[in-house]
Amino acid sequence: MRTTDLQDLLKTVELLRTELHPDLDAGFLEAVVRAEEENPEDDAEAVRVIQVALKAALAAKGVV
Amino acid sequence: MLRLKRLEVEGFGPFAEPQVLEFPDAPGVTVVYGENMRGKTSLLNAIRYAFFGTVLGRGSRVRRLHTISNRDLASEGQFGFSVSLTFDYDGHEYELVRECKPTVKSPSNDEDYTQTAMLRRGTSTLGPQERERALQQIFPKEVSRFFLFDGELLQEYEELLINESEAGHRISEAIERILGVPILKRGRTHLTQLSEEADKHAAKEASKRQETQALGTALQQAAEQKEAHQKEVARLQQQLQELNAQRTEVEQFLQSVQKYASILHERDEASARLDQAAKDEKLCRGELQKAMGEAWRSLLREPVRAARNAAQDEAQKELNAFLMSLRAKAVEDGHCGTCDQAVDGPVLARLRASLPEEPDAVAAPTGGVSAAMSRLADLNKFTEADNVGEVRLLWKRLRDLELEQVTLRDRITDLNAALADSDPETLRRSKASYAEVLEKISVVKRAIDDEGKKGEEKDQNIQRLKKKLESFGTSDLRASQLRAKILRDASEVFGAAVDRYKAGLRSRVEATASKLFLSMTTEKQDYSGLTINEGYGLTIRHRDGRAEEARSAGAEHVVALALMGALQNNAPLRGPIVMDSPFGRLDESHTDNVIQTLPEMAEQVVLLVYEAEVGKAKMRDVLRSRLVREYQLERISARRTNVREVK
Repeated sequence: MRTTDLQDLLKTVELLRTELHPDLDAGFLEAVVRAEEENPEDDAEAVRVIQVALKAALAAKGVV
Repeated sequence: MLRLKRLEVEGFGPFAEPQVLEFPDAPGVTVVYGENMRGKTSLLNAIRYAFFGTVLGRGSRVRRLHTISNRDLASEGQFGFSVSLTFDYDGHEYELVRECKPTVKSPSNDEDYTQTAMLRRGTSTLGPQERERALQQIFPKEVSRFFLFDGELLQEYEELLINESEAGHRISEAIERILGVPILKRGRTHLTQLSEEADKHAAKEASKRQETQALGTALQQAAEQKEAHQKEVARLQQQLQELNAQRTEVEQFLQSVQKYASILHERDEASARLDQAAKDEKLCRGELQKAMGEAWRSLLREPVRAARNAAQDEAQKELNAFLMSLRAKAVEDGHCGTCDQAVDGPVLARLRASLPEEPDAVAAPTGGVSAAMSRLADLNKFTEADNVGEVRLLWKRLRDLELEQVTLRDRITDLNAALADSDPETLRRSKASYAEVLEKISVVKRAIDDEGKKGEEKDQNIQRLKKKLESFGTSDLRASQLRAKILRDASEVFGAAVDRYKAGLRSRVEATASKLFLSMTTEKQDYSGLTINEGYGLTIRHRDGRAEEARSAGAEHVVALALMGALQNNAPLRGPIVMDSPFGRLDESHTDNVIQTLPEMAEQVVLLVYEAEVGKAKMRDVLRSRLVREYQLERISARRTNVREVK
């Protein structure tokens, strides 16, 4: 998929984040979109990448 | 963006020798003209074969590869075929070659062939895994229906207007795939899955502590119960999916049986016509033989006529000489031997005056029939006849009948192949199982609703328990709860994003489809555009704001084409549109409008048409500079076609 379209998806997610859960880490959500974009046929890998991003998001909040 | 550059086919369908089509870089429409059975669909299939290794026949059924080999070559013992496709994608040139070769001398089914594929990017040849990954990215099979299609496939889009139609659901999924929705959907699914795992973990942590043990255990139990309901829902949904697939299969079978009936009818008609043509040929041969028996008269007519005229002249001269000799004798004797009367006075003077001055010029009268008279009598016996025209007509008729029989035999072979799977008993059983499947679907749907409600109740209980647990939060518990909350909230964001993104896409697709539809319809003054539904089905909107419930086959076709163009305009994946005979259901005005709109549907359009649909003059007049190249499929024989560029 082209970057421009990915930007569209990211924009939509970011918009909904600010509307519904502004306290959520924007970087984490972006990481989820990218994980799914990069692993369209591999659920396990997508989940693994999301878990890594979640760990980083929790660490940013001081939770280890 | 995917752009086709060159297609080469060999041994594929009617293309025996290597045939090449080159597609110009300039945006616009390339048109391939060809009569029926010349290979238009084979060209569409050649592109499909290059990308996916499959060839589709009627009803989108996969055709056996054994039937793809050129029949003329096959009759000489040469089987197999190859397709080479060169294209550009995201700044790289690719060459994709796919070959199907026999592994035995006389192959009789697909197992007797082996297929090979090669994908070159720039100067590098990709390995098998890399090749498949690249092809999946360049042109996913799941969305090929939006790029390679014929009139039959366009008809399927009507399914999008039918609620719970399996075909409609399948097309909707393909549409969402081409529009990029699955990324968000999968994100939501994975976040939900992780969030539930985090909830369970938090409950487990809580159950280990004395002060939260009761709550934690209750939460764990509630989570387990909810999970059990979810598993049951998932199982039922899987069952529903299988039942829907069964329903689709039976529906397709029943539809194909209807097709079988029509194919059978067509084959019977073709067989009857073949018998008749054979009888007509026999009759014609008899007539020709008879006509040829008389044809010598036509050849002799002119010489006989000349000889007859010559004999006539000669006999006339002889008669004149004989009369002269009788006169001379009467003058000399003073008595006419013919009427036995005396000749004297003025009669004698008049007779003498009619005689030549030289007495030797008058011969003595002779008796009997002269040679000239005999010849004339013989020549008069000749009956004149001219059947050249008749012989010519009979020859032409005979040739036509021979050709018709060849064509009919080919057609019957094709139709027999299409009928290979038909079975009346299976039809009867299928009708019964269709009713059974519908009943099961209804039962499973009710069970899904029930389980869903039970799951919701458990979920409410879980939320209540979680709130209570939050008040007991220790740092470890808080970490688990925070983790679960982030995932839950993120899942909610993705769920809402799916809806928002889809709504935005639907709105964009609706706007573009409306614009294209209004450009193509001839009812511009009455219609204001198209309205899109949840499943991307499109209805025609009248200027009075109401939907047009009933629409003609032609209008359906225009709507489907508008959807194709709208998806092309709004999808991340863009590529060529290759259309095979798409004007069959359209009148002349709609056809003109559609042709005019084609360049707006995609940057590269390849149109395969027969000239009765749209002639060259019309195509040039309507497309003008946007017509970038024209090819003609030329008949060499019933089984061979060549491709020629039209200059």
